[in-house]
Amino acid sequence: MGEDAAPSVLLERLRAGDAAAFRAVYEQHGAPIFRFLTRLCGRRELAEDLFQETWMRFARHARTLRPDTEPRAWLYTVARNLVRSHARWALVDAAGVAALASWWYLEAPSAAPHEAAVGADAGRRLERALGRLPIAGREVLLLVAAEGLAVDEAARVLGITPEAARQRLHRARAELARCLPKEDET
Amino acid sequence: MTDEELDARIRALPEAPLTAALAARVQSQAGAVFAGEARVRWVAGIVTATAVVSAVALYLTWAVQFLNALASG
Repeated sequence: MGEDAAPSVLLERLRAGDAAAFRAVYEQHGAPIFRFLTRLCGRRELAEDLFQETWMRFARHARTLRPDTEPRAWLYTVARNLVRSHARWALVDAAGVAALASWWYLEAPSAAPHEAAVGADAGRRLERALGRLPIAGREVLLLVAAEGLAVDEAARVLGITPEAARQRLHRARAELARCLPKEDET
Repeated sequence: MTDEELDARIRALPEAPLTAALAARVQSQAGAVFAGEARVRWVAGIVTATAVVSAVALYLTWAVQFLNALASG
């Protein structure tokens, strides 16, 4: 019903307490937010908790959002802040990435065994390299490269200027590209 | 490797699936909170409006009594 509505229209309906608008926003952004959380924090269990908390916060604040709020950016901002502020952040950064590799590809759709193995290896290398990036670089890279946000929108999510976001993105891409050949040698 | 190629490789990474059970549970809980917030705000609005009207009525009553007292005495 509301899936195709423009963000401003959805926001107006949300502010009016329209439950269908809430469902529409959830259907539109639920999976992307979960994907972003799992890739950013690297642990499915933690991502599930933070995913739930993100939507609970959205539910509590949806009616009081400012008229110029973009629900997508708001959701990514909250999700990102939850990851940042999570008390177990130290564990997420190190052990979480290792844990990720152990389950991630088990659930991936399988192709031919050899192709699947090669693809999984390449994927693991990229995932490991992503996990080794500083969080500031990883989050901007995931927002722009994986989630398709414009740099300006990613900057708003991160609370930095567009120019700073561009610089951060450039550094993250360079760092990731530098890490990948090293990973390939291992 | 170009930026576009790198981005494409990141996008091509397998996604952690949002299971139907988790999606349904979160939607149900968050939806209930959203509906509850709406009810709470509606009730709060009614209570506030009632309180304001009562306060004004009380003040007017007192003002009339005060003026009557002044006039009579």
